[in-house]
Amino acid sequence: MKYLPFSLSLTAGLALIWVLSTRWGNIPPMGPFMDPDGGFWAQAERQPPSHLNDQLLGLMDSVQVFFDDRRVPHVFAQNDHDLYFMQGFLQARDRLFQMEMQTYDAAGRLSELLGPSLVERDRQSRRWGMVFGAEKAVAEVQKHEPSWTIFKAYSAGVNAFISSLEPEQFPLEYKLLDISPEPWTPLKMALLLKNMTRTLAAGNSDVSHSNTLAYFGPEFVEQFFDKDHDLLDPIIPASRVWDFERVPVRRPDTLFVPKVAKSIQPFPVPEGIGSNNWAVSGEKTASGYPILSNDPHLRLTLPSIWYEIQLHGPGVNTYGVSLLGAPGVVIGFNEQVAWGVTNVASDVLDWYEIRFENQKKERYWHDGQWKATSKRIEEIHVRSAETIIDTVVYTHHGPVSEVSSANTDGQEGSTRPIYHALRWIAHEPSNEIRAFYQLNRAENYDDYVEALTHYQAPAQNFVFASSEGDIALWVNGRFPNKWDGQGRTVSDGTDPLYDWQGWIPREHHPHIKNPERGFVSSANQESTAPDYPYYMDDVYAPFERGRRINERLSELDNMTKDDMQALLMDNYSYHAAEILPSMLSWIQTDSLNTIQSEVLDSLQTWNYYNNASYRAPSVFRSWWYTLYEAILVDEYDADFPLRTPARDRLVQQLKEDSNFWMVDHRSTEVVETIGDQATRSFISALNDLTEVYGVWSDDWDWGWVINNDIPHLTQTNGLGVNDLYSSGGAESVNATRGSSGPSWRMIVELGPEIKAWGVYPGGTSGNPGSPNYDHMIESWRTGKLYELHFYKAPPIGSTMSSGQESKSVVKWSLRP
Amino acid sequence: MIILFLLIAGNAFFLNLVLPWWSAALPGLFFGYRMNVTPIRAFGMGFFAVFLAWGAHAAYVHIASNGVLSSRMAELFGLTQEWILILITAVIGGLLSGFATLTSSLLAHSRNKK
Repeated sequence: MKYLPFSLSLTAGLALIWVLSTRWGNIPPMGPFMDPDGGFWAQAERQPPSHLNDQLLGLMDSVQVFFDDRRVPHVFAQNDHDLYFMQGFLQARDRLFQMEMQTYDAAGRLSELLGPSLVERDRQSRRWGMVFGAEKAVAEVQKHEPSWTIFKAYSAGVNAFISSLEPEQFPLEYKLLDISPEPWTPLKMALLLKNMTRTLAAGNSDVSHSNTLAYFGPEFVEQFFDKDHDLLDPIIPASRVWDFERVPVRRPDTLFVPKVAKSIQPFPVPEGIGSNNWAVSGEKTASGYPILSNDPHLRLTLPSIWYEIQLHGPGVNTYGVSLLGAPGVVIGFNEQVAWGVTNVASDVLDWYEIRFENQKKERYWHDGQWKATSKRIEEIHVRSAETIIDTVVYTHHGPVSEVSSANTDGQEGSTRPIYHALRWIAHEPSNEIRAFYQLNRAENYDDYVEALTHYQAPAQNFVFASSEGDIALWVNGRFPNKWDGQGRTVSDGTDPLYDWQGWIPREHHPHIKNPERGFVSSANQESTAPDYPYYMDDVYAPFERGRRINERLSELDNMTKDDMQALLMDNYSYHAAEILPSMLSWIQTDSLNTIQSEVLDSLQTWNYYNNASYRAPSVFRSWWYTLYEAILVDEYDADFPLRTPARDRLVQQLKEDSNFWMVDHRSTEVVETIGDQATRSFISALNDLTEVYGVWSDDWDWGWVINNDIPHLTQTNGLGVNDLYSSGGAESVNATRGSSGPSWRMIVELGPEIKAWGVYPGGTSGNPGSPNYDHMIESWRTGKLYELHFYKAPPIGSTMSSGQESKSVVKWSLRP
Repeated sequence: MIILFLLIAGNAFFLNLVLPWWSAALPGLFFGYRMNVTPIRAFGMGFFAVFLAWGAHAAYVHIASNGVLSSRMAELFGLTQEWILILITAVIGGLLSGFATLTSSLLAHSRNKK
């Protein structure tokens, strides 16, 4: 009995330790997490980085790294191995969690870290064959010795960093989630690239297009999806002559009608993916040398998707932004050339309806015979839950997904499952890193063209400029040679005429070098005018950004970096300029009250710029969306997915025939005119705005209504930045809008001394406890650019050192 | 008494630099056995010694890092003030040490009753 108080106290103490070392829901284990030495406090950065002179195991020779005033690393190595080893080491040091998350996501392993809520996403990643594609890529990389060397060197660098970590040094997110890093492998690099392909080249509307065709008929499809907008100015100028015969393909006599009506969720392509790039020839610049500019638009997150770095080694000196988990510079420049990318919306993903012999799915019908499938067992490990086993069946097209089959072949009640196989460019063996490896070392146009031959997906418009004076643009990637409209709808998986029958030969790819007009540009619009002999796709960005850029570049002469910067931040809305005057003419002003009239007046005087301090863009956007919905709502009231017309196509239709058949709301007795719809939607839009932003005041400023937040990758509260008062818009060159937009802005002035400027919304460090986590956001928001320090020789400790600059530079000297 | 208090606080601070978080309990276990005080006082001494050590440590980190991370963490946990994080840190350390000190002083008591 006398030991009872002691036992009670001991039990209480042990219970306390147990409670504090356990994760409760999303609450991290509080003992280790709050530990002032090893917990989250350890990530609070207390000292600026300092010089370092140390050994780093794994290097082959000595390496110097210089961190500039924005902590961008400049690596000076004496061989390729050390160069990419250091890139891996530094990226891991700054962004390890992001690197791991991206690859866990690609591999369908998020539920391992985050639990059952991510199982569906993981299952989709597996069914889309992400790992299958990545494994093929690794096999391809191994065939090219230099590529394989840098893959291994980069991985070794990442692992050198990971193995140097004690648990107290794990990045903050690891402590929050109570997880540990795992070793890095070349497969993860391939997975990262597949993830980019999924982000940029997985958009498809095969199912909804099939439905639209069945529901509205071919005339509707022609009217809204086939025709280009009159103002479309394609990437390759319409004047370009195609002096070749296309490689023929055999097409079926009639188009297959798939069984689907309701169906697989199309991959949700987040709005805001699109980009601008351009290069202006020396004839149009003040310096007499080309200037190149690029701003890829992506979802904005913290840490940023990009990592700025300079890589200097034998035969290479390149600067730009790199992806976390991939060696080399993706968008940037070297001492002779500069390049940048925007996405190409070519159709490189098709669904095929599959006919299996029976439920065992061991054989499927194709080309008049039963062919064998193969199976891949996917084990989805789930944190604190049971492992899920999923068998994915593969045909020669690709992996098969089961389509939910509630409403299939017209027979109520009899629901036979429907199977769709995925044919996707991401499953083709490829080695994109080799393209970047060579671009980083390119000296002229020919080197650039040769480098691009190794690049397959996601297809990009590669803009190029050289100090020799060349400018060029290649619509670059690997494109299936399709018959007109092939893969736009769900294809017949039994008929070989629907298979991809080959590839568009490289020399037939849309491209242009030194065009007469003195510039090249792209803004995700249609690659070519309709006379281009091959079919690529019909889903491109509206004409607006592309046309605006081309108009500005045509008008301007003696261009400087400042002109480019102004164009990058150009907020002009072609969309508003096109449709707003009509909307204002339709509205019935006598049905408006005083405040509504006042708001209307502000639209009358608006100059169509999406500037943060204007209220008109807020009103216009809300009005347009409401009107758009009012016009389409009844026709699109179906319980299966349908394709909606692109913004610019509907605008053109309304301008041509403002009372066309969709304007009337069919369920009402009266026939609504565009005047009724415009007035009603205007009033309704103002009511919506008032509900959210209060009475008509500065709170309606576009800067707030644009709703620009930059969240952390995991959407964790406190780790993002909210309510950035910003200018821009989806249809403006400055395509900033809620949480997406220009993820990197870069201007490069070619010439004997290359000069470059850039900014991205984030910072070098991925540590939320570092002042460098988000320090560039303010400059990015206001359109400022940093001059990029592009060193030709080490900035300290060499005769080339430039005095003042070197003060803020931190130097690491590393030896093997 | 004050010496024991400072020994617990000081040792807890230094042990934590080399050992994981639960090391906050060790000085209390060691010195609590040598403490001839009432259970409440034993708990209080252990508690406040590490409350002070961990609290001061966290406060130092907060100030030296300009509160960059603590403000984010406060938002994450839905706290309005960053000092509450420091308080939570201090209380966790304090509780660990309080129970440790109490436990070992009770053990000493029980043995002395023989």
